[in-house]
Amino acid sequence: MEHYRHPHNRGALSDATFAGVGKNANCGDNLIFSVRLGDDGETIEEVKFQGDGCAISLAGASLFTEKLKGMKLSEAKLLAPGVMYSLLGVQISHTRTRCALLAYEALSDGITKYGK
Amino acid sequence: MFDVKKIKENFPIFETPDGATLHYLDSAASSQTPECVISAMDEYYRGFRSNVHRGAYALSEKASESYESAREIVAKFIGANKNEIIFTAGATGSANMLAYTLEQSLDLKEGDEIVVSIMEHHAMLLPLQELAKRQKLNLKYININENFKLDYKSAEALITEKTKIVGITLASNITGVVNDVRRIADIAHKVGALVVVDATAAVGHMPVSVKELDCDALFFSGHKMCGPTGIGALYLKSELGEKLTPSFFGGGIVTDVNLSEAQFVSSPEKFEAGTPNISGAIGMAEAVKYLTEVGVENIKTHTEELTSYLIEKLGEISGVNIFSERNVKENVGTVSFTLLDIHPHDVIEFLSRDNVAVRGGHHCALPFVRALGVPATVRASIYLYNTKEDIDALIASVKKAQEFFKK
Repeated sequence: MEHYRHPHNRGALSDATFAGVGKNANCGDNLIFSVRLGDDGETIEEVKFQGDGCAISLAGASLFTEKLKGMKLSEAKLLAPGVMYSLLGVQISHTRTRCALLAYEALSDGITKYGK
Repeated sequence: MFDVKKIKENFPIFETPDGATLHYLDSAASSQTPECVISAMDEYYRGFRSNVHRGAYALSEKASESYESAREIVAKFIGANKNEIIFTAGATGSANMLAYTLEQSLDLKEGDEIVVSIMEHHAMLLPLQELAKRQKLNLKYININENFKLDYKSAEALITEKTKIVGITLASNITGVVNDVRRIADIAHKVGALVVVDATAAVGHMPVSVKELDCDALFFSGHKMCGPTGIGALYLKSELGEKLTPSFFGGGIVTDVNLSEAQFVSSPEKFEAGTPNISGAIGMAEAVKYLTEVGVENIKTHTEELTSYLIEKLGEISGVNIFSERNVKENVGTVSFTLLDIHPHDVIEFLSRDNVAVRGGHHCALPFVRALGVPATVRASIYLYNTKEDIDALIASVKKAQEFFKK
């Protein structure tokens, strides 16, 4: 709830290295994840997210940005979707699966587009 | 008099432990099934399980008679003749089959037009949208005005001599508004266009007569009017039914087949290839009988009262935006709404914890939801077994959600 009410790292990132989009067709939710890598091309220096979503997707996004900051890109690539459930720490009914995974989808999309 | 308590007793789900406190406000997604419909289908499976098409023994004779009698009952329910009713797998099955049939039977040329309303459910919209793409037709939309009603005036300009098909929903599954289909049909027929009506939200919720609508084709589903899932009907005006050729092929539809071609039987049989959903048809007819006994006009009056009450109570909550036809006489009993700063998914999760069943999202009518200017809505739909307590429970849960999400 806290992350939904006062999300961390929400906003635009002007000098992003790459950005990705996650969309939930069921409800029109969309998240844009912008990532800036450090000079080593590996360390995730800054992550921000934008977009509209329900409590679960926004809280997930907020928690996810916190986790990603400081990680190496190679580590982030190894993250499994299940990480979203651990971060959220609450029971997610199967109808809310897409909400929970939206942030992960956005990051994956960004990594794919970045191609490195 | 309309006795909701007695009516609820007809529906076994309300006798279950969860069902006793169930506030089912999602009949627009699917309605509850009364005991008589379940029994009628059971009776087929236990008592005269056999194929139709008049096999040479008593069991098949009985199954065939029941199936044809079901056809007649469903036809009468919408003011049609029994040969004008084709049993299908549902409204979506009807719409898809019809689109393919029209594609091959009408002489469609590039640049011809299809006109639909912006309110259409994807079941009506997508088959026609795809048809337009395949045949390079121009797909046009009748828009809504600021009261969420159809802009009838604009329809006059949109429907031209190039228009071959007009697709219109009788009632919206989002705002509940009942459209003046006759008015659109008159415009369409002047230019020789066919009128196809999606009556899924309306049949069983208000009196429907194909003669009054003056439509050429109409479809609806059994499961939205107390019938089982997997069954629906497609009405084709008899002249149209005779003229159109089938697009769905299989057993039971030919007078003769040789190695290169087939001669088809007449309507409606030629559109019912394969073994139909026999128990479904029997169940759907039983639902018609049940609703007729309760009285569709009585149901309409009942849902009008509750719709009025729901709109009034929602209006008292600040931050609620209502997307519904406010003249309840022109509403089949559906109210969509949004809560400021609270996502529909989160609202319905709260409601579900209090056993209030509603639906959130775009309700398979994305263009309409966009036209309303929102990404998604919460939708409550009212039917014959709903009570004031159901509405009160919804309102209480909505207020709780607001409290929880207050910043």
